[in-house]
Amino acid sequence: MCTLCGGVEQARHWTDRLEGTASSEAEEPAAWRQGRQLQIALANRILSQHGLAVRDWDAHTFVLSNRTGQSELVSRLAAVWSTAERLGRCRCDPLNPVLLSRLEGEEGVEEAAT
Amino acid sequence: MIPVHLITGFLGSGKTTLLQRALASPVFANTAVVVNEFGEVALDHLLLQRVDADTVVLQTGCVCCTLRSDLAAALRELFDKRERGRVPPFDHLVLETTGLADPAPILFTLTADPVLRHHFRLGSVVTTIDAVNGAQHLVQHLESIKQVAVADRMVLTKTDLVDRARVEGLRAEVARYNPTAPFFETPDASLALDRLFSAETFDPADCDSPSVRRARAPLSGTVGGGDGLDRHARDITAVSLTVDSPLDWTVFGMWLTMLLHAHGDDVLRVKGILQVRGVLTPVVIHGIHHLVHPPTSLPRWPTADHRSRLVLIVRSLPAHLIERSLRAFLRLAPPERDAA
Repeated sequence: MCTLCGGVEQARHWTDRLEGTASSEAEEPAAWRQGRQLQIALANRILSQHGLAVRDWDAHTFVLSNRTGQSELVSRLAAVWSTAERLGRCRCDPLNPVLLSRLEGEEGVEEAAT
Repeated sequence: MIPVHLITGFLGSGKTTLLQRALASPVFANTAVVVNEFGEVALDHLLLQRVDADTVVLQTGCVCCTLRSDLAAALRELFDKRERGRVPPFDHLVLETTGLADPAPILFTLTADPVLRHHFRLGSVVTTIDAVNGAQHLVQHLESIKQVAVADRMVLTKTDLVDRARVEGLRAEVARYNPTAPFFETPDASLALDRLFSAETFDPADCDSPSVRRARAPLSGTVGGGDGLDRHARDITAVSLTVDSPLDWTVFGMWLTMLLHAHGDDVLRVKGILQVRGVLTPVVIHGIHHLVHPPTSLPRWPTADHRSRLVLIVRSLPAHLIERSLRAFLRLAPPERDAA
């Protein structure tokens, strides 16, 4: 457990664990931060249509907010979708043709500066 | 990490007979065995442990997120005895499930338990299918279809009791639910037990097999009746996807977590070999329902084809939308940096 914020250290998620890549901040800080910024940029692309925004908090937690300012902390990306559905009263479905049409018409995400 | 191989299959399909044969082989000299029940076929093995069917259903109510507390306790106890030197230092574990057991909670238990996940990993899932009654089980029992869908290896048993045409018909039928798992047959004196329970459960060539290509079309007209199970079974489809350029791992992870969040109940199996940006070796990924194993790397590409190949066995999900969705997500990745 983190002695400052009280957060419980989470076990690694499968999306974090890939041999040969930076899987933690300690192993390769720049690449790890870049991957995290990409996660946030992508999540915002997907969730913006529901009035939701994701931002980083302390480099280990995501903050998910809706238009009314209601926010929730999310420890890992895989949990963002269920929290987003609750905050945005929406359904996060990657097979939704409306979402796909929108994504197909957009440019790729810019690489984050490190 | 000790691989936990799973033997699953319908009631009377020959699971214990296969296990008995495996344990007689020198390949399984250092193997512990965990069974749900002591059946009619006696198992005389030094490292044999029984588990009771206690389960804890988590708040999600999801089928796969069911903690098999009995299994967790049995494996912890076995590992503890191994560490204390009270049992031989086994390096494999074989778990025989009951005929109606769903394999997904077993995978969940191995990945979610805070102790077990550091010492055990899922090995291969071997499903036995009875050549005499297997076709009927597929018609009548959804569990039988799920056991076939999650298999890494399939063993057709009792093939000496029916004619060859019937065996071939059953193979074709089973391959429609799981086109990637290779077949073995018993009785077959040359049955390659080491291959059957090999830790490497992914053969990329299987993704290109004719049965995978056939299975991209929805199944139809293969099982009789018109009841709910028939409709359910016919909606199971294997979707095979190939991506030519290296994948961005972050984008792929986001796509798959979102897909499994929304449709994990209907994704019976995910398996793939991936070419990932910045990673020289192929990455192998496996999943059942909402659960994905920690990905592993192969030391080298098995063939000259280095494209990413992903197979999803899904229920009632349109293949064209899955493919469109993956490609829409992948094009969001930032441009690939030149290799240093």
